Order: sequence, then structure tokens, then C-alpha cells
Amino acid sequence: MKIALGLDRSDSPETIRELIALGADEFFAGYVPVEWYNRYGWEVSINRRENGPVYQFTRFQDLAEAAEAVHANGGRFHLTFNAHDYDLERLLFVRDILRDVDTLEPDGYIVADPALMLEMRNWGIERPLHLSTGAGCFSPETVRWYHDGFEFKRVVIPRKLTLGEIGRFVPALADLNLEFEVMIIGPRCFYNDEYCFTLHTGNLPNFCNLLAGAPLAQGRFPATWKSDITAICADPENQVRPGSALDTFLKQIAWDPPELGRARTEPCGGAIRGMHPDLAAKFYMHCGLCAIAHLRRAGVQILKVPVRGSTWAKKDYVRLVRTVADHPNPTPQFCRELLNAPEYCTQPESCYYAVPDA
Amino acid sequence: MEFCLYITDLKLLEDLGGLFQPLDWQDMPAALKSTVFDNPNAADYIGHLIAVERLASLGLDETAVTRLYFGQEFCEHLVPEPKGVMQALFIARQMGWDFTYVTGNAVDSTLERIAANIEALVAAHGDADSFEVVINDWGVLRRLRQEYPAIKPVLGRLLTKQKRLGRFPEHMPTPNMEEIDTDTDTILRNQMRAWQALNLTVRSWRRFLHRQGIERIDLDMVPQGADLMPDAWGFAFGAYYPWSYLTAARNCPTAGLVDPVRRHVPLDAPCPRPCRRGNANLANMAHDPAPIIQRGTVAVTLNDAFAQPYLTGGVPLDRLVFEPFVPL
Repeated sequence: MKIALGLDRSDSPETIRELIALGADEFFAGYVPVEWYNRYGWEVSINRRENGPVYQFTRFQDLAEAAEAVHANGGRFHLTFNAHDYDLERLLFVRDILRDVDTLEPDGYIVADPALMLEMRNWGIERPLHLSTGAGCFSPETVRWYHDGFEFKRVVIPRKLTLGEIGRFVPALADLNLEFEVMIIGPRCFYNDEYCFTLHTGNLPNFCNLLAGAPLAQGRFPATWKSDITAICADPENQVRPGSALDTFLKQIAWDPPELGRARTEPCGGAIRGMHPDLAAKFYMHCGLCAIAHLRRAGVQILKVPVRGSTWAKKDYVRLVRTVADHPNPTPQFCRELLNAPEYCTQPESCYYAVPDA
Repeated sequence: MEFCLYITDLKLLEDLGGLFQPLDWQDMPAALKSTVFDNPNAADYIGHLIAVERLASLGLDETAVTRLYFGQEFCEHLVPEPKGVMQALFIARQMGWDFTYVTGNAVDSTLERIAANIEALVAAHGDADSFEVVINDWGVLRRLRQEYPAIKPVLGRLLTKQKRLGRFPEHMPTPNMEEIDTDTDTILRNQMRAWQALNLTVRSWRRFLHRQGIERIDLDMVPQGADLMPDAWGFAFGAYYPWSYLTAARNCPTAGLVDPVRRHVPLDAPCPRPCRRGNANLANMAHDPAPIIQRGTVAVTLNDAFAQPYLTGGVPLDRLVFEPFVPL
């Protein structure tokens, strides 16, 4: 299976070379030129990453260098123009941007708005299209609706299909010669992103972030907290593992009084097996590693790691997903041991998919 | 303007007059009022009372209804059985109302259930062009056009892709100005213009929709308004009142009360449908200036504060769809 990883402007050509060496096969990125964000800000996004510049490429030269680095190292590079819709004013703006970026010879465009798909062909853009999750392909019939009117090469399957549904989805479209991609780890919206039309901004909590769960209790910081944090920041790439400075710190401040109904740990530094669940949750957010064997059997070819904006963490994601994807029999037990965060793995909110045998 | 009643539960029709009956709830003794209504799950009923009062002021009550909307937009587990759809059609005919069957987004198994309902309607109606189907999934439209090309599809509110700014009915939040040289007011003006517009401004897309048989489009009432041409580009437009859609999920907080996994991910097994008995709203919704409610899988906002232009001709609508309760 191939891994498709999100890039942003923090990813240098050298980083891209390393990511390919670790097992990433494809990359996708968004490009928001200065003319766009000086007109619409970040909230009216070209590509549904509304939170600010760190999730994007904002300079054409940086984008060109990234595309060149991907191609020079044998990878594939896709650009995303997957807003739910573009009105005429924005569509004409997108046309001008597409004329620029098409000179970089990307391997395809990720799109969601059928109006854009119509116009791209009118503009003479012939590169392969991928149907974004935003296209809302919840059933094979919906894919066929798009196929009746448009040419495309790949379908990104919605995050909220069950493994049983994906197991029927892919074979039902075998005659169309399409590629199928799923999200596998990282942020998975509480709501269906295909039909989520709320305002997203880097300035306010998103609507879904308002949905607080159980009250969260926390112990006081240890006396060494400043030096602890200094140690954490000195080595960010090695914090997402048991025994790291950050993991140790979190275990020291863990405090879950039973009356809060969340007594999964022992108070104040009690024994938490493996990695602290909050560290795993913060980093992996939602994890679908246990589902990879099912997805492979279903015929899914591409595993998407949608982590634009998390440059420091990407290598760990790629290592992890590549290890599971290459394993001949990645059982849930194998995946859980690999993650080594047993308490995270027992929480239903951690999972990208409900895996029957997990 | 055509006045439609949108329900998901036929029991509501057993007392049609009661459905439009106002209640003087604002003058209740404070302690009683807070006891009854100071619960985020009560927003559904508060919205109902506000809407009934507003509609009455416009002369809209049960006698003004000319069309029944019936079906399920937001939860696959609540798609009615053919028997229920047939009952709804029967009642609509008895009342002299036209009939619209409402569908939502559909996975493969849901699509088959929707298709069975349409088949039952066609069998009962005899002529397929005497009722409409609201489409919120392109796959449902494809099936409809292939099997029943005479049925009129209505482009549903989930496919119009309107930005739902219902969290901010009075003013927009300050945008993120990171690295932006333009002044904030200009950015806000440009954002509002973008969010008022629809991709219907794209001529090739309008033609495509016409070729797909779309002549009517349903909108939500949104605080920023909808920038429709006076001739509405040859489409007819309707809008829902008083609940405007914000977002929805296949996972469900209410179903999660029975099985915690369902709060986070959909499952292949049937849902026990605890939403028929109660609701799990989500924390922190009550503080928003416009009432917002999570009802089962869907989050909606009460659009009464910004409904006025839609109700009084400021937006070129020819249909108003009254949701007496959140349509789940």
C-alpha cells in the first residue's frame, strides 16, 4: 500500500527526501498565494484548511522546490483545490492559480466541487483528478454519478464509512478502474467533513472543539516543570514514546479522581502502562492502524496521512504507518504493541474505524 | 408563498391544530420556566414555540399548509419504512396537500431503503410526476433519474453547500489576520461576499443542474444572507424555518449513551434509536447567542433572529418549509 502524506511550507526539500526514504510515496499540499489571503483571509479557503498559513504553501517558489524534490526522489505530488464550492468570483481566481501551478506538472488535483470539475476541463486542464472526501462519495452510486459526468482517477473514501461498507464499496466499482484512498491516522472530525459547513478559523475554537467531554482534571506541575519543558522542547521529535520527557511529565501530573468517572489512571503519577494516553491522543489523535489489514483486503491502495501543519511529527507518522502497511499480517495486537499506548487503545474515541476483531 | 410542513414522525399529525398552538411560555414564573426550559435539550421546544408565534403573526397556521415534507435527512437509522412513507402520502392526499419525500446522504444500504420507498410511492401514486424527492446525495439523484426520470428532484440543503454561520448571527468573528496586509474590515467584507454567494453563480454548473432535472433548490436561512439573482437563474427556491443546519455526523452522541463506541464511529449494526426517547446535547452549546442544539446526529441553529428577510420577501423564495421540531 502507498502512503500519501500532507506537506506544508515548513517541509524543505531535504525533509521531503527523508520522508520518501522512510516510506512516503505520495504527497499532497495546498497553495494559497498572497493575492488570495490578502483578499479573503484564511477563513475562505481554497482547500478547506482554514486555520492559517502554516498548513499551506504561500510562496510559489517554495511550492516549486517541494514539487521538484518529490519528483526528483521518485514520489508523486498532488495539489488540493477541494473547497466544498467556489462561487464565480473565487472560481476565476482559482483558474489563475491553476494556470501557475500547472507549470509545476503536479501528478493530479484533489477536488470536491463539481462546478470546478466542469470548468477545469473547459480551461484545458487534463491532469488526473482525485475526488476529495469533500465530494461526499458515501456509496458506489455516488461515485458513478461523478463518473457519468467527469473524468477522475481516484476516490478518497469518506472517513465515516465502516469497514464493512468499504469492503463492499471498492469491489462494487471494480469496472471503473479507479484508485481508492482512505484516511488512516491523525485528525478525524467529529462531524462528517463532507457536510460540515460551519466556520473554521485559526482565531476561535471550531464548533466541534466546543464539544467538551467529561471534565478534565489535572495535578499540579512538579517543581521541575521549567527544566522538564526545556528538555521536551530540546528534542521534539523523540517525545511521542513511552519514557520520553513529555511522557514522564504527563504521568507526573496525571490525576483522575474516581468521582469524575474517568478513573483510568492511578492518581498523581501512578503506573500508566506504556505511553500516557493523553500524549498518544494529542499526537495520533485518531488511529486506524488496526484497520489496515481490512482495508488492504478490501482493495484500498493508498493510506492518507493528513497532517499538514505538523512538520515535526511527520517522520514518526510515516514510520508507523509504513511498518504496519508492509507487515504481512498486522493484527490489532501487533498494532497495539507498536503504538505502546494500551490505555489510548482502549478508548473508543481513539479509533478511526471500528475494527471488529480489535 | 407555498407553505410546507416538514415532519419525520407521523404522530405529529394526530393533532395538527396543537402543532400550531402558541403557548405563553415567556411569562411563566421564573422558577417553573427554568425548571422546564433551562436544559440545552429543551432548545428544540423553545424553538418550536418561537416559530409558531412568528408564523402566527404572518397568518401561517395549519390551514395554510399545502404540502407535506416527510422523510429523513440526517440519520440513516431513521429512514422510514415504505409503510410509513405510504401512510404519509395517504394523509397528505386526505388533507389535499402535495407531497415531498425527503432523503439524506446515503451509504449503499441506505440507498436501497430510499429506493424501496420511492418504488412504493410510485406504485401508490400511479404517476411519478405528482410528487417530489429532496436530494441530498448525488448517488440518490443518479438512482432516481435512472429508474424514475419523471420524478421531480429538489436539490437539498446539504448539496447547496451554503456556509452556515449560525454561530454568529449578530456579527462575524474577527478573522485570523496572520501575515495579511489588507485591513480587517476589507477582509470581512470580502469574506461575507464569498459566503453569500453560491456556486450557482457558475453558468456551466447551472446548466449541468438543469440537465440533471433540477428546477427547485432548498436553502437554509443563514445570517449572512444568500445572494440570489432576482430571477433566481430560472430555479425556484425554498427555505427551512426555524432550524438551519450546521453540521452532522454518522456517529451520534445520543446513540453513544447506549453504546459509547457510537459516539465516535459508525457501526454496521442497527442503532437502538434512543433518540426517539431522549437526546444527548453536547456541552458548551448553550452559551452561543443563537440557540444551537445537537439533536441525535445533527447540529442545527435556531434561525429566528435572522429569518426576517426570508419570511418577508427580501430573498426571492416561493416556498417556506416549516420544521415544527428539529427534523430528526
